[in-house]
Amino acid sequence: MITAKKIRFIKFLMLYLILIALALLWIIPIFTLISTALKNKQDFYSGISLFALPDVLAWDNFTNAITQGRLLTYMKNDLIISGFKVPLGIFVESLAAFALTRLNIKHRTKWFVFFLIGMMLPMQTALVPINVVYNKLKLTNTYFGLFYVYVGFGISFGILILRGFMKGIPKDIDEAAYIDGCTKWQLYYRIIMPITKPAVATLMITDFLATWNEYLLASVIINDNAKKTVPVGLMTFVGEHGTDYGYLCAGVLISVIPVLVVYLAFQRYFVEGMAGAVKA
Amino acid sequence: MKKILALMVVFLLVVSAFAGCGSNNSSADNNSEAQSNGSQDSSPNSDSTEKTELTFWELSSKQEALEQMVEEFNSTHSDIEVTVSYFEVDGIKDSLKVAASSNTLPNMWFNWGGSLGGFYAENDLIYDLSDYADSHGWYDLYNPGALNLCTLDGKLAGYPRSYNTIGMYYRTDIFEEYGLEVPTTFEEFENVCAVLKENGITPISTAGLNGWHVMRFVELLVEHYAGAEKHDALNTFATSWDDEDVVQALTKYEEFVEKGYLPEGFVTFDPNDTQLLTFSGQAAMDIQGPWYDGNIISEGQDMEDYDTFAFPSGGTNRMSAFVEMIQLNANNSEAEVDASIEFLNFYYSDENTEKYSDIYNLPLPKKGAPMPEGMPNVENLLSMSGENGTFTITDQAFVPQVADALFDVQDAIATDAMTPEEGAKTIQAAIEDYFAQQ
Amino acid sequence: MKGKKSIDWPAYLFMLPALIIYISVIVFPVFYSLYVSLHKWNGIGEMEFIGLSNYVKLITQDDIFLIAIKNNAIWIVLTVAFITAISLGFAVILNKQFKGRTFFRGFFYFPAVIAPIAVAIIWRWIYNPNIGFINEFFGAIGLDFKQNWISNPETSLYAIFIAALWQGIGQPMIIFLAGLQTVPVEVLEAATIDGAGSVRKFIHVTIPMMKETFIIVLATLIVAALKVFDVIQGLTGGGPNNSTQMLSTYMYSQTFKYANVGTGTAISVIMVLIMIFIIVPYVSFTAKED
Repeated sequence: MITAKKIRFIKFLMLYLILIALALLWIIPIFTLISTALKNKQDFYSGISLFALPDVLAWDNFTNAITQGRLLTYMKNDLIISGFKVPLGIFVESLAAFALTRLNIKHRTKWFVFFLIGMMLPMQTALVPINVVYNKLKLTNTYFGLFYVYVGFGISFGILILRGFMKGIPKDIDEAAYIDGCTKWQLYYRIIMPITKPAVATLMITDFLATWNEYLLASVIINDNAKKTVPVGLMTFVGEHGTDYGYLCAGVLISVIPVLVVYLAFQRYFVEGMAGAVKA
Repeated sequence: MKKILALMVVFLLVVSAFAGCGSNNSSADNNSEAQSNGSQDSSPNSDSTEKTELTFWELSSKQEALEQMVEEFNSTHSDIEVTVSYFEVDGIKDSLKVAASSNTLPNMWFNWGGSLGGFYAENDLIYDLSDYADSHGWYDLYNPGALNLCTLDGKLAGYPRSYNTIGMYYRTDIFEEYGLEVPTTFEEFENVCAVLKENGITPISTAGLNGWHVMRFVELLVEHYAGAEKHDALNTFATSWDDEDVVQALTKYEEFVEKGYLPEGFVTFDPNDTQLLTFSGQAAMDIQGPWYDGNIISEGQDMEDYDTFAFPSGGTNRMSAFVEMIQLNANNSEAEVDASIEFLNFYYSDENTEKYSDIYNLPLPKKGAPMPEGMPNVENLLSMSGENGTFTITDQAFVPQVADALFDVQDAIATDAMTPEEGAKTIQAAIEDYFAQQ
Repeated sequence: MKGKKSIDWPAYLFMLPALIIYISVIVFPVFYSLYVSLHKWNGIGEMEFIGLSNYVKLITQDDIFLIAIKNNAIWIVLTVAFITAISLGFAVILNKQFKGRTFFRGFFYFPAVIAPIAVAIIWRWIYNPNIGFINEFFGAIGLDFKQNWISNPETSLYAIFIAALWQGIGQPMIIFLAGLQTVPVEVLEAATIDGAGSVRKFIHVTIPMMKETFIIVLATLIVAALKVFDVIQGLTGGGPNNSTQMLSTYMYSQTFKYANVGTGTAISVIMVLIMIFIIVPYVSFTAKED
């Protein structure tokens, strides 16, 4: 007898099967990455499949990536840049989003659309003008210069998300606050921002990820080796006449760790935060 | 949880505040460096009493060895301080362009010859070393072929750092297994390929991504069908590429593709990976330069299994050649030029090349330079090219947009999207377009 | 048009930091590009004013430019159709209550975290005709279906798209997941009582209530589809024979390789204009409830 319970059970079973099938498909590239990272140089020429693990696992690819490849330095640099840029960016964006949603700004939609255009600018286009200006201001090769550009490029998406979330907060809260004698700043800082924390956490993840993996601007603005970021540093593993793929893949795997940490720490807010941003 | 979040934000802000202090300090250092760099400032004050500070942009493949050399140099020269920034192959091209546009070029930088380095020569961004070379006897010291290739737009555009000639590397063990001899004529070469293919070996390992590896083969075909004189004329655009010899070369290329003499799907392979097939014995030949010996060693292969021959293009069997150089900034002061050359002489001194031999494209382009040990093909290639003569490698002879047109044609013929006749016409059209734009 | 009402200056003060940074980093390069695109320039020497000639040449004489536009158009359609649908599908599945759903969410999001250069390398190997996974797999199960996935001009764009899809599902999936949470349970229950099956509920209740979600996802995806660069450059560099050339890779070649800075910036201006024409009406219309 087919009971309702059985139907539900079968549905769940199918769900799991589909998910596992998809997961297997999904994992192929990741497994390639891992198996390559564990290969010794000779393994590439012995004809073994790209996807099989070698007999002798090459753990020194990982240690080499850290020591010779100075991966830790690059990761430290990237951490500094992201750690500074992300909170600062969110702060600037939230101020603007706050103004656009809760303060008396004329033509708010037009301002919003104006800010949105930043998402559309290809980064390559900004390279030369920014470099010209930075040279005049002596900002080339400085972290400040890089922060500034990153914040600028992040404004559009940040305002998009934060504005969406703030729109969903009822205006009565504002009125009550004003009646209680709050200034605009206090409204922002003491009341609205705490409620917006989920959206902030969301931006923390996406913004951190985007900044961590950013290659183009970092490679052009920063020349000093000690200051390079992870993506730029990883590219130095690509040689002139040949690439040590094991080494490179090991480096990639190591550099992914901090992002995963950030993701895991903030991911529960992720869903909640975006939910607020997308409320109609 | 909110508290933890808030704490993390505060923590990150604090960390970055401290880091911000650190990077502000170093940016202050950079500011002073930038000011005394001389890339903007050619005042005579940067001589005598002050330290001459030099910036040098180099490829990151040299980093490990160069860092040690720089340290040694800086400690033994109290009046010069060199700082090096490392870039990867594509990155350095972009960064140089951006720096050129914003007037932030370093005192010296690495560049290839041909149209790459030529761009900087044509736009007066480099210091013309011709006078210096004359007064310091460079024409006796350096390989004339190298100096020749370093002369761009009528100027000696850089300090020659390597002179590379390209030949056909082949697997001696595979040839032996199938009873093959080194081909001395083009017909013999085709025969060798046929035999290899019959026995399941890909004759030539090549890769089409970014076009320049396949080009190494195509240009040899052009040399074969057009002959040395015409080839040179073609390379300087003195004669049209819409020519039956070019069409014949492209047709033969098409034939090779169809017969499977080139790897399946090579059109999007990465040139860095041609050795995957050659070293694993799936392919028997690879058109490469002297650095390949270094690869053979570093990838743990047996040098006994490899040897080189000059491609039998008929005629003199000339080989493709190119140079790499260090270019000096046009705005360098006299002191900076002297200091730069002093550093470069140190970088390329005999002791250092011996000590750190891995990172150099040996031998150095100096006359009578010592050959690296354990790399027999380096000397092979050099002596063969000395006897046979050389032609400029095509992607340095061409401007980038014409080179790209050639690469497109290579791809198109290989994927049946174009006939060789159309290909020849397309290349010529690109050349004419380029001239029309000037 | 300033009315007699006084302007609320403190309010604008909140927008000021964002405005200053935005104008210097974004708006200034946009105007600079517009200016440069009207000139012939190699990046170093003099700029020669030639008016709209770069644009005219691109549109009327430049075959590669037209190929790039076509490719970007295809890419946009593929992105909007497949990435939207698939990430929505994942979101729906991962929205159900079951054990391990957090793990699976993280798992499918993971590719989004990997640097684009690594993605390109991995997928180049997967597609390798001899030793790549796909062809090996077909060999292993006895099918003689070896193909030249990325070296065949007819399939290369789509092959690259799959790699981009693998990496690109993560972000929209997460956004959709959030959007699904905002559909009020009461409305869904009311629909069930009215006799609607799951599919009808989905189409007629859930999707309309996720209007804002779709706006964010579609806007971001369309912009990304027009700007796509890393995965193309890494896998094929725009080849073979321009079959995968995109506006961003072509702009890069023109500006950095050929030193035709005027032409390159003209291409990027055209890119921005296309995006503006698509996105602005869309967003203005939906954001109008102010």
